Amino acid sequence: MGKLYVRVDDRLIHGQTVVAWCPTLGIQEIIAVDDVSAANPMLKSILTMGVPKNYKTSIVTTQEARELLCDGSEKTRLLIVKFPQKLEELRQQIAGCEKLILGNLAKRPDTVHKVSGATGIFYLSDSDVEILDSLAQSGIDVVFHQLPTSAKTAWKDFKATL
Amino acid sequence: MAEIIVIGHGGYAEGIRSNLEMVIGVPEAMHFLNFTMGMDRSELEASLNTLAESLKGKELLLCVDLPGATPFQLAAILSAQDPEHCRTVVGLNSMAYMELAMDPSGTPEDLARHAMETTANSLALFP
Repeated sequence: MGKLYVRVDDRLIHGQTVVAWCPTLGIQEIIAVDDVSAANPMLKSILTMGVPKNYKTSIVTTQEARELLCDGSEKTRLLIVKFPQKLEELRQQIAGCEKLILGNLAKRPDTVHKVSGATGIFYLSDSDVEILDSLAQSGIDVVFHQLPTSAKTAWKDFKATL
Repeated sequence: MAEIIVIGHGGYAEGIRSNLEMVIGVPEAMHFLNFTMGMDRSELEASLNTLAESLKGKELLLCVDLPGATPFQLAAILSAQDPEHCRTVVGLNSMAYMELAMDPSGTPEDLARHAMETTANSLALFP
């Protein structure tokens, strides 16, 4: 099996991810999970327009992501979801991932936690914290890290501030 | 005659405006939206929608800095809703913006195609 990296970024496929993270992690394939975009061909083409052709890119539903992630691909993959909630639905498929990188998470009505230290915008709800903490406890390396070159904060360091 | 909206990251739009101002002046038909640090997507979306609403009934050419990024996505969604009267073009250079500022007459599609040609034809390498 190829390596799997997971990115949480509410902008889904973003220039920062494509230009900075993909080369750094040696990504060969991008799988972006968003049920709304996956059902809309126009949105799909808009979202993939900024991705260079050398990355195989799919925008898929949650169910399609489950199937893709079990296909035994040898490629190094980046799975992108908008919010931590989606990881709960893909828990089994991301169990062996190399790293879970939290990117941009803008303020939402229920986001009571603001992460400081790492460069970038990170707002989390109680439920986000619960999900991410349980993934971290299961052995996944969870980190707040907007860009490979910017300051990062490890999950345990954020947890210690709660 | 199209209304032209320039949108980009950081001071891109403001930079294009000031660039035009110094060289040939800025026509009323050109509008500029900056997507600056600390702003989120919904704020830019709201500014773009308000501007588009104020130009309702007119043809629009949206010019953005990068393919795929937030300004592009918002512009592309707006164009896709009304492709007859609205087009999005990506990555124009100063020469193309100057031509648009001097003569924004034509359909958004014609203006976009011409501006892309101008951009491609005004690249140079010396020596």
